[in-house]
Amino acid sequence: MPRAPAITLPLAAFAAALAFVVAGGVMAGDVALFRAHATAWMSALMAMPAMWHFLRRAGRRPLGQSWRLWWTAGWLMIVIHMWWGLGALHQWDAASVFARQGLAIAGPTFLLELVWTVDVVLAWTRRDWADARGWAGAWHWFAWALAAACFFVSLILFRNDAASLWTGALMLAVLLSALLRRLAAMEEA
Amino acid sequence: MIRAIVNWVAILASLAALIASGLWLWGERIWSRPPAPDAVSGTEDPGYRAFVHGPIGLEIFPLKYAAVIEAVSGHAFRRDGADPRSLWEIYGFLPNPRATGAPLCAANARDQLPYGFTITRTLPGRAADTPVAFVGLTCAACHSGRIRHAGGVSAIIDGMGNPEIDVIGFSEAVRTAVLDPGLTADRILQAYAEQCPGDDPGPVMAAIERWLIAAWLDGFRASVAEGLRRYGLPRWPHGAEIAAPDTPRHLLEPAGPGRTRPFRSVVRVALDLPGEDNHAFSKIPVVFEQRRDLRPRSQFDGSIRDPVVRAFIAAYASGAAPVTLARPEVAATIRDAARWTETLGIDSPVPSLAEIFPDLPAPDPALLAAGAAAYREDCAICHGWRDLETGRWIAEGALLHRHLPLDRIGTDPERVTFPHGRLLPLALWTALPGAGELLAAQRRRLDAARSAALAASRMGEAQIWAELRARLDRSARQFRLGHPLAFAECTGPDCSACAAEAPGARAPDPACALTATAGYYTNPIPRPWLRAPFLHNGSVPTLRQLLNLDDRPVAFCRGANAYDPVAIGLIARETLDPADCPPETPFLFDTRLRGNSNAGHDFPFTRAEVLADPARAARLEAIIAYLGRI
Ligand code: HEC
Ligand code: HEC
Repeated sequence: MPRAPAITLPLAAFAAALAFVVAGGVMAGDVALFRAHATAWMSALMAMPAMWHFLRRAGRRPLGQSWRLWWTAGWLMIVIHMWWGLGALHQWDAASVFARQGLAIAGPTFLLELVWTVDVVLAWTRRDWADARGWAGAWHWFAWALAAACFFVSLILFRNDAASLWTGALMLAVLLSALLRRLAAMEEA
Repeated sequence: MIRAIVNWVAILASLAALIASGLWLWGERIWSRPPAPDAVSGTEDPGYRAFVHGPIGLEIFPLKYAAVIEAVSGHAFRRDGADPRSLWEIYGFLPNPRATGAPLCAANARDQLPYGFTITRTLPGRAADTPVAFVGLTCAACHSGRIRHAGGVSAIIDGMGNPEIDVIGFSEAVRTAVLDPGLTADRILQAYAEQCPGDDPGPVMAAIERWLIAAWLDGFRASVAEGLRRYGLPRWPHGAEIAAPDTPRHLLEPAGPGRTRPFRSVVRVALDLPGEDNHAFSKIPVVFEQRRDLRPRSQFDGSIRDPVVRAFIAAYASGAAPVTLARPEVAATIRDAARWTETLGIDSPVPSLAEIFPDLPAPDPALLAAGAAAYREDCAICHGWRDLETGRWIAEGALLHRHLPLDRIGTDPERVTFPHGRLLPLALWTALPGAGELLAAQRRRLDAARSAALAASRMGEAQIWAELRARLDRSARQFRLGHPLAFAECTGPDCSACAAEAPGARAPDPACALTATAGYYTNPIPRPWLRAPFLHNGSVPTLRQLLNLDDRPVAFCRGANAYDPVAIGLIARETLDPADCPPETPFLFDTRLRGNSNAGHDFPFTRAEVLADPARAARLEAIIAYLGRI
């Protein structure tokens, strides 16, 4: 029996997440604020399988299609996050984000947008994307670590609300379990 | 095989969901567009348009519900089944001059809805746009009115306070209507389809509409239900449950037509404190000539400096949420409408008494001259005067633009002594977060108020400031760049006097945006003939009575009163018994009740002084003639 193509789950998740973001905004009091928050949660949720996958395999086994797809879905969602977070809440005035949040917070967030974008481009353009060595491999790690750090800070340290905290806690648990399994696998080897 | 099918179904469903989300987002951009100007009015003046048609965040219910409200919820609004007037007229809304009498449907709604209603696609109380049209109030619902003369009724006069609108009665009836479990989205849409068979939205839109109206109804009903605990049962038809059986209406719902209780609402929304002991009744005022040099402070107590702040508070007090007020078109309406009132009557005309009553004999020129002179001696000191030659209001007077203490003016005190009033300026100022330095100042001021309360052992007040500080922090996160209507605390460099300003402070007028005072403000009184009934609480039907030429009635009937151009004011039957009131003026205004006193403003003479000396009466007759011209 043929396996379901890897695209199905990430696509369905992305569609459901976007529908949640759109409809939830209508029901919440403030469309822009809700959607800015919700896109961040959804981005974290969709990046999670990719990050789990990456942490277990990177440098040891080739990355699978599912890494690339989930990673791309999470990236798309963070791009949409910019639309509401930067566009609607800050009128596309990036300087005002720095003024409000300070360089230490706003800097890494904008850097992540950039680094993640390049990473997704690498994943879709390089032949050796699944097993990248050299600078491209390092870039994957850098993007992974930066994403983990940014989500950790904004979801757990800021904990704007319960939904953020739960999303952050889930992410922490997923990444820790991936790390443990990687360590266990390395020990076995 | 099954896996493949499931797989393809999942992919197709996902794509469909993506397309639907995309279409919705695209739709939001269309739904939020204001209608083309020519669709709603004949004049091109954006200020006029904003005032009469612009949304101010007061969306009430879906347009389709408004269309069938009589059929679906009439029982909640009609106290007297035999009353032949439309449900809107019963509550004093102005009939649309373009109405044709055709049934109200979406296509003709702009012409058939009452004057002062607007149509938007904004969900009430939210910042979300949907395909479902809602109706909401504009400035003109309250601040436009008509004069009833012998030959019928005048054209609508924009900027005059609507003397007939019963905003509180209407919103109480809305509460009853919404709590009716028989009111459902299906019921509304079915009644609408019967009334407007030509208006078929198609199956997809119909489903979306049903969903949104049901969601609106659920949310509104839940908040009304919760509000029962805070605001009590709707006064009608619950009279017997609230007070003794057969308690007359004016005791249960004491505001009546032409008045609201804005400060009860503001205490509730800005401070979240109870408003039950609040007897601050405000007549809906005229809003002519609001220019800053003529009216540096507005409202009866002169508590507000800036016209835009004034307009914001009007909308906020009537229930507009900060997130709705932040919508660009709402913020723009409030600015434009406020700006328009600054020169209304100066740049845009307002009908004169002679234009409304063309048959009225013109006053004798000698009498008019004597009246002008007497007015300048007796009244200009507090109100300034109109130069009849140039038509300009001369804002000069030793006591003009002052807070006149209560013992000096002697009118009803409740409007300025209501509970928690002292806390309002700071609570209102911090209701809309600024950004940067303004936000920092708001935080400092709330913290300072809290410390001061703690130092004085006023722990309850300290708690309130702590909560408002938390509210400010939350809303600052919501409005990252500051709320578009946020305003500075004062116009000068040092605002330290503002929060501490002593009640009743007279001189010098600190530049605070908002103040709490225990007195009434002396302002110009352009077009006094459109201000009836007089005084801030509307307790004196005519100018002759205000000047003590006639006895002021102890109790009189209010509603759709006819107008008397000679006494300049409303013809109101005097009686102590509400049963004596004619059907068109059913509300008994009893000046013996709290908040309704008709005492005071005995300038230049008390009633006894007028009766003692006929020369005084003659002088006042002359002043009346002049007042009919300014
Ligand atoms: C629900 C009815 C209502 C609506 C709607 C409303 N107002 Fe008012 N307005 C009032 C009442 C009542 C007062 C008197 C408040 C007081 O001082 O007690 C008032 C006072 C004012 C004043 C001060 C007048 C003066 O001379 O002191 C201005 C100006 C004003 N409103 C403008 C507006 C504008 C502009 C809008 C639309 C953005 C608006 N109002 C909407 C009821 C309303
Ligand atoms: C000492 C100051 C003072 C003098 C003198 C004075 N007034 Fe007033 N007047 C006020 C104040 C203050 C109010 C508002 C009182 C209130 O609403 O409770 C007022 C209200 C009014 C109103 C009602 C406005 C409205 O919208 O209901 C009219 C009309 C009026 N005055 C006319 C006159 C005339 C005419 C004279 C001269 C015969 C006069 N006033 C003298 C202070 C004064």
